[in-house]
Amino acid sequence: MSAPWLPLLRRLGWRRLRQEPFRLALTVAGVALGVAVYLAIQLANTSAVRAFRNSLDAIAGKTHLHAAGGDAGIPEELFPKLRAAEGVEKAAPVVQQTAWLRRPGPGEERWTRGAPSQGRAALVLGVDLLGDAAFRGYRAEGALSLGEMLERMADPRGIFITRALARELGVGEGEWIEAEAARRLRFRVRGILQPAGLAEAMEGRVALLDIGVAQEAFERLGRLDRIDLILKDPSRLEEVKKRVEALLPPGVIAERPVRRGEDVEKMLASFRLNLTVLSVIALLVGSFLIFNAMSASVVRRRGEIARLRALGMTARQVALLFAAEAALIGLAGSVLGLGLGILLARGALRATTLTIRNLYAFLEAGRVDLDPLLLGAALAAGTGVALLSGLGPALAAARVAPAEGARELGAGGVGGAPNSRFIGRTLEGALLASAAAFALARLPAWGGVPLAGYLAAALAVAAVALASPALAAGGAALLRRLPGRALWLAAHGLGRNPGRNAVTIASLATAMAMLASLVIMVESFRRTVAVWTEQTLRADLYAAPASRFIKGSGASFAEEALDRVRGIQGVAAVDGFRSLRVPWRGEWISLSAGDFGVLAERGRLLFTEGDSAGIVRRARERGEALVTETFALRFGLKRGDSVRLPAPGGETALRVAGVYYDYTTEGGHIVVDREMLRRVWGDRRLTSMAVYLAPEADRARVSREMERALDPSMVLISNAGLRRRVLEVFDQTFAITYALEGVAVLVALLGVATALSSNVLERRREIGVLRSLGLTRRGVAGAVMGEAGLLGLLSALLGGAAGAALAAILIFVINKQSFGWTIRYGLPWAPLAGYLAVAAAAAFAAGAVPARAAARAPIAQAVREE
Amino acid sequence: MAQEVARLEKAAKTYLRGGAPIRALAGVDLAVHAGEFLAVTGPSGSGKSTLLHLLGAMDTPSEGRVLIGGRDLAGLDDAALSRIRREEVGFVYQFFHLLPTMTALENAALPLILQGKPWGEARARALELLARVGLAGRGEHLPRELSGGEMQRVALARALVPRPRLLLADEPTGNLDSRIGREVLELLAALTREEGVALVIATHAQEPLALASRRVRLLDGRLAEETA
Repeated sequence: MSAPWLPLLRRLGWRRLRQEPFRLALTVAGVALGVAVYLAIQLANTSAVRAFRNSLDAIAGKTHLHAAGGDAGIPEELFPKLRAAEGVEKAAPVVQQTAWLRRPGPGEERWTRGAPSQGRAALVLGVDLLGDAAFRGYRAEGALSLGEMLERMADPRGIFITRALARELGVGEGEWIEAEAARRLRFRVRGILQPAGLAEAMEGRVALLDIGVAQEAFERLGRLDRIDLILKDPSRLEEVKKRVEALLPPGVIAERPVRRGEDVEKMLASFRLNLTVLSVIALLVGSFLIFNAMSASVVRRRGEIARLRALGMTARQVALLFAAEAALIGLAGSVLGLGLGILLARGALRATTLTIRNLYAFLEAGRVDLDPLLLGAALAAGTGVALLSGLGPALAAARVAPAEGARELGAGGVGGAPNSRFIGRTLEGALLASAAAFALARLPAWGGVPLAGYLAAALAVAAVALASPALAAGGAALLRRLPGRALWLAAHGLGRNPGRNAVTIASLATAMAMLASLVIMVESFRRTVAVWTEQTLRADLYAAPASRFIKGSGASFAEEALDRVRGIQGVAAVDGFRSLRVPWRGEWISLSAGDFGVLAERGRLLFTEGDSAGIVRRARERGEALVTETFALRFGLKRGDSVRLPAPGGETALRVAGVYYDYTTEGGHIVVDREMLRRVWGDRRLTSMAVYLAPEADRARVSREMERALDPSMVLISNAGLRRRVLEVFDQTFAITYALEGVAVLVALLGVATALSSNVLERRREIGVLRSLGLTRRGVAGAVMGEAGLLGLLSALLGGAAGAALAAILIFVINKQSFGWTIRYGLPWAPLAGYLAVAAAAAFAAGAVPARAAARAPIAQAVREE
Repeated sequence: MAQEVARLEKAAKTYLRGGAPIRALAGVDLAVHAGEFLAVTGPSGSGKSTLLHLLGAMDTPSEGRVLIGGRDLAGLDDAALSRIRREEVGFVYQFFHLLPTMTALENAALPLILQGKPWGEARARALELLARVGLAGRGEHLPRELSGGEMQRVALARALVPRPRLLLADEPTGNLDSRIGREVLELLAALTREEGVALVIATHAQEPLALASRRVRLLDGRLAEETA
């Protein structure tokens, strides 16, 4: 088929668009923003995961298989046995620890509040360099030979750091640095690693110690974290794995190194899906914008379409003409969006990395990978969404009859009164969608993904859009009865084009509903966490190694520290807490222990049922375990169930004494009394301690004495400080969520501006008539801005109400099924009203440019008869 | 001679169309007096509409002066000009130009609403005028539910509601069939006579000429002849 509409696209479409640069710019900008946000999140997501994977690859090197025992480590006697195992070519012992590195300060000052600002988190590996060179490549500056490196590493205070770390810490060869993990230690930089192999992991935040030095420094005498193995024949991995497993004591497993990455990626899946869903919102809101622009274009060009039809253009060609126009606008917006998205990706990656570090695992990721596949997908998504949104208007254009040209100036004009049948039908649709959403919200997760929940949320959003025509018409009818000229005229404006105004309300209300639901969800969550910290964090002071503030660091300290603190005058009780990563049911879980005696007497956990002191006391007496809500959901456990955990002496059966709420980790904990951990697992180390003071104690004095009694690498935090830190982490986690929503609202506001400028253009004559009847310029501007304000107000009302329902789906279905946390639903009136008011006010302001255009239009030209 | 309602003095209007200047009026002197019925004739493009727009304070002359009620419009701000349009001038168009979402009553009451009059007062006056144009009982209808003649009657009621001193009608029968057109025209003449309003009609049609008390003819933007 020849395409006569193609040259027309340029002559008609483009020329028309060029006459309205303001509207065209807004529409393109809306698409660009949507595409940019979507792309930025995708790039950040994949870059973060890729950085994680690359780091793990660099750390694993040529390892085919490793044996690991979690935080408890494995006895080093295992090393010669595994090296001698059949099918194993080479074996390498590894001690691995995340630690803070920094330039030594002038004194013994201690980091007091939360994450230390001085210093860099880095991965410190202790290896036997001679054998390790076959696993991980090393290249030191100054072209050191392996022998020279070995010589320097023999220095009991010698450390190798990467060039990146040397630059960041501002140190060079021969200078001293401080490392904090179990203790604060000083090391001398004996060599700088070039960025190759292991030195490329975690963006170069890597340091290297001799294995013996590392064991001593991190208090792991006689223990290893891992034994890496290279096999003679990698194709026989499963066979060798079985043979190796037979040599391992309980609690130690053999796995391929990629497993660790897979575990973290599995944990990240929900988080990534959430971000992706959020990032699509702006794109969807942008689709309303295209729909609006194209509908307006069709309405205004009816006469032109009719003339083209009269000249012999087919309906199909007309449809193609308009669809192509929509696609071109989408393409232009998408191309701009690609550039903007790449710019935004850096910030998004920083925010994503921060969240991953806070919640999941230590990660450094600074480079955005410009994956051409993602760029292409974003381009296609933007253009495709635009094309889809332009389809309806294009079909409407195709339905214009050739004879309509003659009637175009008909007295009634286009638009007219609201079509009650259309309104009735959309309202029915809204009710139906709401009912379906309600039903879907009760379904369970599907393969760990809250599919029904997402569908319910989508339906709730659809209900918002479908309720918009009724709201536009109803609002207009109601407002017309109110006194006051500007509002009266504004209400008439609102009723003038119910279809288009409904779309504007739909887009703005959708964006606002999502904003409101996020505000409600996040604020509810925040309040839940705040209340939880208040009720369960009851000790006066807490102490933990600084490196505990690096997620998954596994740093610990000797339990003798407890006795030293207990001896301080004014200390009433001390609860030592231990958290161990152990393998169970093919996953890594957190086995924790606390002093149940102290906990029952002074602490408090929030159990799903039953009182804290009673449950904890019974668990202590009977040797039972407590599990967090998230842990219970993850493994389908309930009170009274029995679990069998691996322990050095064989498996230990534990009954679940109670399930309690906890918001500190995603995977959850299973907790036993520390006495039991000592007895069954033989573990005598601690990860943190909680100190309860006597009523008359002087807290400042006790703090000072604790500082003297503890290693300087231990951070002391007051009760209030810890609670503040918890909420700080919380706020960091949700910063990106708010940013994404803000963009969606911005796009919706562009929609208000375009819709109003369309309305003003279409109503040129009507405005002229009003002016000829004596309405002042200010009156005209007031009416247009009043209409904008009404659109904003109605959207805020609908959005707020729908947001409250959407938040319930987020809290009770999506979040619960994705993460397992129970959040108490609460309406944060003040912030909610604040956000909605700002959005409504912004809608009002968005009317300013169209209002100015309307006020300035000359009267005589507007009313001139054709 | 009756009191002068509006006057053009050497009024000229040039505007740009596609970059080229078009001289719509070329120095016109014209006075409109209370109670008179002035018919402005002339071919399409002769400047009739422009002349009406100047008299109605809807446009400003490029040269010369426009006086309404003795006041020179030059130098008046938008508020003052709007006030003149709102209170002293009524306008009737060929295509009626009713606001489609407003009922006949709301359309007719619009000028008073714009004056800030309370709804009760505006409604009463609009109902009175609707009755006088023969549309009593049709006030709640939307424009699309009315015939062309009915719509023009609503437009006429709207123009007269604020008790203007000057009513300007641009081809008021141009979009109506001849019988309805004559009816509307007679109504227009009768009502303006009763209210003592000066009426200026721009027209192609012959009928107004018979009813008019004075006729002028525009040709290429100049008043070519004046017949008594």
